[in-house]
Amino acid sequence: MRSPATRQRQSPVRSDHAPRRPGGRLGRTGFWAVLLTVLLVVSVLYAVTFGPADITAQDAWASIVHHLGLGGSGTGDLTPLRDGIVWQLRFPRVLTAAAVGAGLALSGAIMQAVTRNPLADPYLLGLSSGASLGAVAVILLGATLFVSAAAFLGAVLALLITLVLAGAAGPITPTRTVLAGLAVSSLFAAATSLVIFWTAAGDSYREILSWLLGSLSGADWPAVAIAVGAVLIVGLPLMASARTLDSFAFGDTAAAALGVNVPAARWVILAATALLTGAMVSVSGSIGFVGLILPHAVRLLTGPRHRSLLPLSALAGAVFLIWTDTAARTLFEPRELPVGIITALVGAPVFAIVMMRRKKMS
Amino acid sequence: MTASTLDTAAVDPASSGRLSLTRVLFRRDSALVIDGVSATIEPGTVTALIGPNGAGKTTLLHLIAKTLTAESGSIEYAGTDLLRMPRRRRAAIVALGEQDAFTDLALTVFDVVMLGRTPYRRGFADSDADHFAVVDTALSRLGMTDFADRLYGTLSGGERQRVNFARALAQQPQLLLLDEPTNHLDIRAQLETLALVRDLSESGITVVAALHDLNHAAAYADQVIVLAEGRVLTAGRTVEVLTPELIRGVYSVTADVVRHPRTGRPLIIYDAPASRGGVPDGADPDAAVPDAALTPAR
Repeated sequence: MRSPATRQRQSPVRSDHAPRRPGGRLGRTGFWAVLLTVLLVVSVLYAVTFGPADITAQDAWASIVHHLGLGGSGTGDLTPLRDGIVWQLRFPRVLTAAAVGAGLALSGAIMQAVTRNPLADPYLLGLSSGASLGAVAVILLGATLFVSAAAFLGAVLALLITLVLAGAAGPITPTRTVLAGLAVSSLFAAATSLVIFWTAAGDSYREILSWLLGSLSGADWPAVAIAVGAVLIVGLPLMASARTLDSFAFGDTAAAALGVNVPAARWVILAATALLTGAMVSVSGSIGFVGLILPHAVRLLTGPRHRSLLPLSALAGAVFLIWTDTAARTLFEPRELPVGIITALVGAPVFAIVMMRRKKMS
Repeated sequence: MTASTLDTAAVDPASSGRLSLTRVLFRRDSALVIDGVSATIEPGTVTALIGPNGAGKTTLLHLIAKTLTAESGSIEYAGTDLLRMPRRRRAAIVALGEQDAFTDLALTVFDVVMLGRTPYRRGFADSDADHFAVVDTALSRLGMTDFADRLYGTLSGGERQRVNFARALAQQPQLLLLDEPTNHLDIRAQLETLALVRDLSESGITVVAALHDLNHAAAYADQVIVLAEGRVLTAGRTVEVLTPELIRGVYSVTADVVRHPRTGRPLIIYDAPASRGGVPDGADPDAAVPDAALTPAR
C-alpha cells in the first residue's frame, strides 16, 4: 500500500535533490550545438583547401573573402583560373554538401519520429526511386541540364502516389506509410531499371550510376541556392514541429490524448519533409545512410527529444557530408567516387555500433 | 514550488462537474462496438468499468478522450460538450492512461512526465523551465523524484505505471481515464496502483478505470458500470451492482459475494466453472490443486 508520504499534500514537495537533468541535458545540447557550429564553419573553410589543384589555404580564403566582398583588396596574386576553381567549383560544392547533409539528416530524424520506425530514412516515401526515374529518363534523353528539375518532379510524383495510397485505406498510420512507400519504391525502381536496360549505352551508364549512388560532382551555385534555400525555407519551420514529434513517442493514441491533431500533423510533416528531401535529391541523387545514421548518433549524444535532436542532426549531417564528400573527390584523384559509396562505407559500421549500443541500453 | 501548484489545477470538488454520457454510439467496420451508452459519473469518484473481453471498455474510454470519435451521442463534462472542445483544451481536462504504454525511444522518466505538459505548451518560445514545477510535483506525488534521470525502458512494470500516472498528473486533469491500470503488474504493484487511484480521486480528480479484476472494482470503486456487447447492462454503487446474479449473468461464473472482514467492502469468491478447470475427479484435491481452488484467490 502507499506510504503515508503521498498524503502530505500540503507540505513542500521540492526535494533537496538538486535541479536535475534540465540543466544537464540542455547544457549538453548547448555544448554540442556550439561545438558542431564551430566545426561546421571550420569544415567549410578547411574543406575548400582540399583538391587536386595545388591551391593553398590562404589562396582559397583570399578568393572567398574577395567574392563575399569582405576583403575588397582583390584576389591578390591568385590567378583567375585558381580563383575560378575555388569560387566556381570547390566553394559551391562544399556549401551544397553542407546543405544536403543537413537536409538529409533532418529529414531522417523526422521520418523516424513520424513513422516510429528507427530504420526510416528520408527516402522512405519512394522519393529516391521517383527522383531516380526522373533523372535517368532525362539523362538518357540527353537533356542533362534538366536533371535536377526532372529528379524533383519524379520525387514529388512518388510522394503524391505514396500519400494517396497510404491515405486511401484510412488514416495515415506509420505502418501504412511505410508499406505504401515500399510499394511505390519498388514500382519506380523497376521502371528505372527497365529504362536503363533498354536504352542506356556508353557514357550514360557511368553518369546514371553516379547519380543513383549519390554524388555532389555537379554542384554549382544554382545547386547551392536550391539546397540551402530548401533547408532554410522548409527545414527551419520543420524544426518547430519538435514538440509534436515528441508527443508521438508513445503512439498515435497517446499523442491524440495530449491534444495533437495526429492525422493532420502527420500529413503536413510528411509532405514537408518529403519536399525537403526532394530538393536534396534533385541536386545530389540519393545519398544513402546520412539520414539514417546521423539522427541515431545524435540521439546517443543528447537523447531522443526533438528540440535538440533536430538542430543537432542538421549540424552533424552538414559536417559529415562535407568530409565524406571531400574524401570522395580526393581519395582516388583524379577519379572521383560517388559520395554515396563513402557514406555507406562509413555509415554501415557506425550503424552496427549504434545497434549494439541500443541493445545494451534496452 | 509546493504541492499546491498541482492541487489548484486539480479542481476543487465543489466547483467541478459531473461527466455525463448520452446515447454514445460507435461503429468499427460497420459493427456496433458501443451501442447507445448513457451514464453519469459524479466528480471526485472512482468508477470501475467492467465487463467481459470485447464489451467495449477500452473503446468507451477512447471515445471520452476523443482519441476515437463517436458516431453520435454526447459526452459532457461540467455542462460543456467535451467532444466539441478544442483538442488542447480537452487534453487539459482529460488524461488517458493507456494499457502497456511503450516507447522505443530512450526517454528518461523526466522526459516522459514532461510529455504531459504538451497541451499547455505554446509556440517555440515556451521553455521547458516553465513546466519544471508541475513535473517535479507530479514526480514527487508518485514518489518517483529519484527516478527522474532513469530511462523509462529500464523500469519495472510497477515503476512504469507510476511514471504514466505522473505524466497524466502533469496534464493537470480533472478527469483521469485508465485502461486496465493493473495489467501485467505483480500483486504489490497492483495494490499500490489502486491505492494511488483512490488517493487521486480524494484530491478531486474523477477517475474512470476499465478493470478486469472484479475484486479490484469491489475494493476500490465507488461506482461500477457493467458493459456487455457495447451496452450498459447495469450501473450503480459498487455494493449494489456486484452481486452473484450479475456475475453469473455477465461472466457465466458462479460466485459468492461476502464482506471483507476488515474493510467491509464486497469480496468476490469464485467457484471454478464446472465444465473446465475444476477439481479433477478422483484427484486428491489437497495435492493436485493446492489452495487455489479451495480458498479465495485473493
